[in-house]
Amino acid sequence: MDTPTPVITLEGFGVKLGKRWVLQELNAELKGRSIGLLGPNGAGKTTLINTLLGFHGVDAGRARMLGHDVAQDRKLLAAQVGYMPERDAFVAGMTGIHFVRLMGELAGLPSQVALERAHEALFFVGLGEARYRAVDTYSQGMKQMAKLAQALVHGPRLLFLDEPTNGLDPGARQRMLDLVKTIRDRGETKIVLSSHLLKDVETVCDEVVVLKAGRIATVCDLEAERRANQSFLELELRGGNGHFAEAAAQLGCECLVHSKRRLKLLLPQGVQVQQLYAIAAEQGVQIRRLQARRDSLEDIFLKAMEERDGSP
Amino acid sequence: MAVHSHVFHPYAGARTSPRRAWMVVARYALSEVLALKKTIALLVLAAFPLLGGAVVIYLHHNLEAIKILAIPLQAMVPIDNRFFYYILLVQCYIAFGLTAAIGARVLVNDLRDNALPLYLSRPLTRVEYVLGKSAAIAFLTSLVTWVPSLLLFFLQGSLDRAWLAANWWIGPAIFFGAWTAIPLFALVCLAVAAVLRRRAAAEAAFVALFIVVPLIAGIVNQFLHMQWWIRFFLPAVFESMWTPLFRLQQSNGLSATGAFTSLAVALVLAGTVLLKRVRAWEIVR
Repeated sequence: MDTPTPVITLEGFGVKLGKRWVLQELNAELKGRSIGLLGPNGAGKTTLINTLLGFHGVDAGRARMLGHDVAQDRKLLAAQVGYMPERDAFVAGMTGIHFVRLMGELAGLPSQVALERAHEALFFVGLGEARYRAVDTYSQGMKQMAKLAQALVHGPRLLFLDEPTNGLDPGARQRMLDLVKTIRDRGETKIVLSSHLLKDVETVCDEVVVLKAGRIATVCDLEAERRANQSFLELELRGGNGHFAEAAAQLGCECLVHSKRRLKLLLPQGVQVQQLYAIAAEQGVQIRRLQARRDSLEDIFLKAMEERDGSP
Repeated sequence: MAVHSHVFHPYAGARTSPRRAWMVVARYALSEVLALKKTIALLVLAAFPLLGGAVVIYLHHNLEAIKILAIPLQAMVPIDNRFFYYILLVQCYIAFGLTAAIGARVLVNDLRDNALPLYLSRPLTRVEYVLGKSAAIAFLTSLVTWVPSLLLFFLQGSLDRAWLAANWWIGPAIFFGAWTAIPLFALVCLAVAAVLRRRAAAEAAFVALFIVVPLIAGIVNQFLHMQWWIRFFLPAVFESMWTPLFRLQQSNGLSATGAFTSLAVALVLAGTVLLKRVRAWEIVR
């Protein structure tokens, strides 16, 4: 079976702004349908997106998107890529439909097709009724949706979303995430989503790149993580003489003791939860709470941030 | 597909050539400025000198009308190279006013609302973006400079074929003369707008750059008996560039080479400023 073309490939990739290396030695092959970019402020997320879009030059190594070299095939890629920037971005005085149509035409759509697709894109994001209003009169949530519409109008194969839920109330945020999931689930458009909100990335993405000080701290396949951590348990205990963890370890459980009363266990294949209750009964321990959970993205992110070496 | 189905679907149809993206920028910029009342007012105003020129040409070829109006023949302005030189000069001043009034707007709106990342994430380079915006200004200024001046020229030529055969070179002089002013106005106006990022300030600065600064420099240098200021004085620069084109006697101290050098320096400076300021990445203030 043919292996799918990676969405983004980075090989020794580096970007210098002025005299400072903002990104360096990035190596990764990202194949997810929806890729999350995480990192603290100044980690280089926006610079990475800007460079992939051709706004900055590549100063070291190379980057490929959808199988094309970012530096050499910029125009070809630009027609296949949609971009929703972090900050407000629109043309003042233009109506929504006019604005989205312009962006469609710039991406190479014939004028009439751009108009038709501008209508469709605005209806898709929920701005159908407001499409003849000037964009600068839109609310913050509507402006975010208009930015998404302009990024989608030309039917891109790859969509960059930079903080798409910025400034949105909970309802609008959920609508935005639902739209992104709808696009992702069609499978024809890959998504790169940069966000500070781990929950957004966790909801939408199946692969995550964590950047730290301009380097890749970790690349994580969230789908694989979800599958691998099915038997992960959190327990809250009361009573006993503190030997419950040792007894669980004898069963083959990997045991992380937070405190005497709280445990984190990784159950090996074949071990049932009932066996833990049996040990608890033997030791006179009450299990007050037992919750199956996986490593959250927050755990993965914090672990990556604690790593001293920035390389994956 | 009905828009009401509210679904997203990719596009697999034909696409236009990326080389034409600058024309989209130009078309939208042009439609934006043509929607302004002041643009229409200035275009109408620009027609008056041309109407005057057309009347003069008409009278030259209609002795009965001259008799009825009792105009002495000696008072009639001759239709020659000097006539078209002055027509073009007046039209260029109107083009300057038109650029000052609407030129900054085509760029400032994009800069103010951070639209450049959206433009430049498309198959469009910074040079093509500037080209598109300049083309919109150039189109409008062409409408008030070489296009109507050439119409007058051909009107005169159609009424007097012998004159046309003897003075055919005036046509190219009009065209090339206008094209020394058009890119200068467009690029300098856009460069000023890119630096100031505010429409009113950019319009005022554009006027000041071409009129107030050279005038002040002129006044200062009159007292110091220096002539370098003339390189910044627009009427003198145009005169020096156009007099060889229109085969006229030059009256100021600036050579044609000096004037073309001033033009080239101004164009390079404006282009450099534009390429420095027209960038996609977001500047957090």
